[in-house]
Amino acid sequence: MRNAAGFGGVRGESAASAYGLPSVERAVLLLARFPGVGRKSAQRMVHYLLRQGRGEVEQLLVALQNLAEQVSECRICHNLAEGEECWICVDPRRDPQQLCVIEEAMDLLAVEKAATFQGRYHVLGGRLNPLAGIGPEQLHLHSLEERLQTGTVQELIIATNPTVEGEATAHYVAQLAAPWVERVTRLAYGMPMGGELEYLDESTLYQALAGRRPF
Amino acid sequence: MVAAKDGSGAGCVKSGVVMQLERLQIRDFRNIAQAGLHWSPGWNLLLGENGQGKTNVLEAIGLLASGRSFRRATAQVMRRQGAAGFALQAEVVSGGLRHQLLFTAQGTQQQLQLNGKGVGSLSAMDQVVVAVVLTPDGPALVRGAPEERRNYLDWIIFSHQRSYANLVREYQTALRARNQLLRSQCSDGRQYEAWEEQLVALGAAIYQARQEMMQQVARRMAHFLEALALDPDGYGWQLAATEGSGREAEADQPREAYYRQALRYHRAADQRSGSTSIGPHRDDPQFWQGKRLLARFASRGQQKRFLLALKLTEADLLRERLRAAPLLLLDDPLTELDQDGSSRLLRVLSMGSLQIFIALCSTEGLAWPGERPLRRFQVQEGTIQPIA
Ligand SMILES: [Zn+2]
Repeated sequence: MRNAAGFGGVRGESAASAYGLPSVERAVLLLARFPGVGRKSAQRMVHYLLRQGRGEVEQLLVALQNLAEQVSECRICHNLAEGEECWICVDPRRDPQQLCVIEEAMDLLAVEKAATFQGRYHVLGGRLNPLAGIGPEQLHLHSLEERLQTGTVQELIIATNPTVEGEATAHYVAQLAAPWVERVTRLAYGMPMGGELEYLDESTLYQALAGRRPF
Repeated sequence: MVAAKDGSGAGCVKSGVVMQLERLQIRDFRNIAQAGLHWSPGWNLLLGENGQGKTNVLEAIGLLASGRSFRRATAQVMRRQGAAGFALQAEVVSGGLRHQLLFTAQGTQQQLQLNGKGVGSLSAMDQVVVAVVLTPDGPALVRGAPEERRNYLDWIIFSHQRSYANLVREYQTALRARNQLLRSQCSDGRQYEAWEEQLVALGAAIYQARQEMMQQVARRMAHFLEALALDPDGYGWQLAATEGSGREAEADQPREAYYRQALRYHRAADQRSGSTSIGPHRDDPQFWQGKRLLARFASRGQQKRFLLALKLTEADLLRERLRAAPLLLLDDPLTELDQDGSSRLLRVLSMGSLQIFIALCSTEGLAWPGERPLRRFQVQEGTIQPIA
């Protein structure tokens, strides 16, 4: 009989540490934690860095250190910021009467890319999901309410994702905002411009059809 | 324009496009080590004692047609004992084209290929092969728990409208969220409202889709009920009143308003029970004989005839949508039927253009009407032999 446990143990170790490269292995494991990065890609990145030499590695080191030390959350809108407030909150050209509520800072970048919105943002930091233990207390809703209480905001645009959690969050935000804001709106969803009908998934098409409007 | 007036063109549409399973190769599936089967476009009879593998053949065909086992079995359960996986390969003629279908399972991995390419979604299969199945536990649909009927109704709707699955999935998400609030004794009314509003909108859409499908089925069923000697006006498919829910919908109250009110009204009681008592997840789409429950008041024979009419209606609706007749898989369809019921069933089946697969213990005393081609197979201990 073979020793199954011992055999599995040796095979379970990765090639790198088995060959005495624990530093390489550690870097691979850390990089493989990134979203969308598997072990293979992580290995490729590490080997790229090793080939590039010390200069490149140190540059990355500094960049990461700056990231950790200088990037934090905007104290007003919870966007990413270098400093107390983010580049949008400090920009006097941004209209304080329009406020767009989004789930994550990544969503802000997406709305910004569209480049038509001239108002300001509020990042919730997630969406309601009781099963994952995320209730209103876990989101940036107190600070939102405080911003609304000043009476500056005339229109609140809710741009949470069109999932059921996003919709529930939108409903909660709308109720919270109702006493303070004249106009509460929700992003329309439906067919993407430039998209071709035949490539749309059934659910998008269904929603677009359900939400059709007179021409 | 000219072509539209052409007589032969119109005739072609009327008779329906053929959807036909020509060949099936089975490897390591259930108790079947190896089989190569050539099917008739009309009747296919799988004959043999119980436990020999007749149902396994039907299950294999159903798996190719729907991507799932009608016995709700996993790939590991379906592979032959000692085998690492199984493979089903079929040749299907559909819409004038020949298609190769391959279903393979290896360990927990399974894959469906159409003409050599992986198939991601079931809707791609609609154009190729679709089947309607009647299993021996079919009567559970009439006599069993409400869940059986809900699942069946949802399955029919899904086979007509693929986006319905998203609706149901999102509803389940909102339901779990509200149940979580209930169980954690949450007292924040705004949180309840946020989730209940999702249940209201999604629930009303599900309710609407179910109402429409039940009505459509009930209308279409008349023809088949009559053919099976049941009064075509006497039967229906409607939601049973939910017992003990305390607050019923008023006659012409919109469903949204009803759900909104009822969910709020039941919040405290739901908190005590830890689950949501109102909504389509609790509905019972019941079968009726007049104003009485079919399950309680009709004889077994009547229930069985009704069930067969229901399945034939399901196939008929699919044929209309796909513009091609689905395959009909009948496992032991004659149980609980008397002589008259059996011969009526065979007669109504012989009038359609469906390709039919029937598993039976014996054909003794049965007459096969019509001139449709017929092929018999003997199934014994996992081997399948055509009978000359
Ligand atoms: Zn900011």
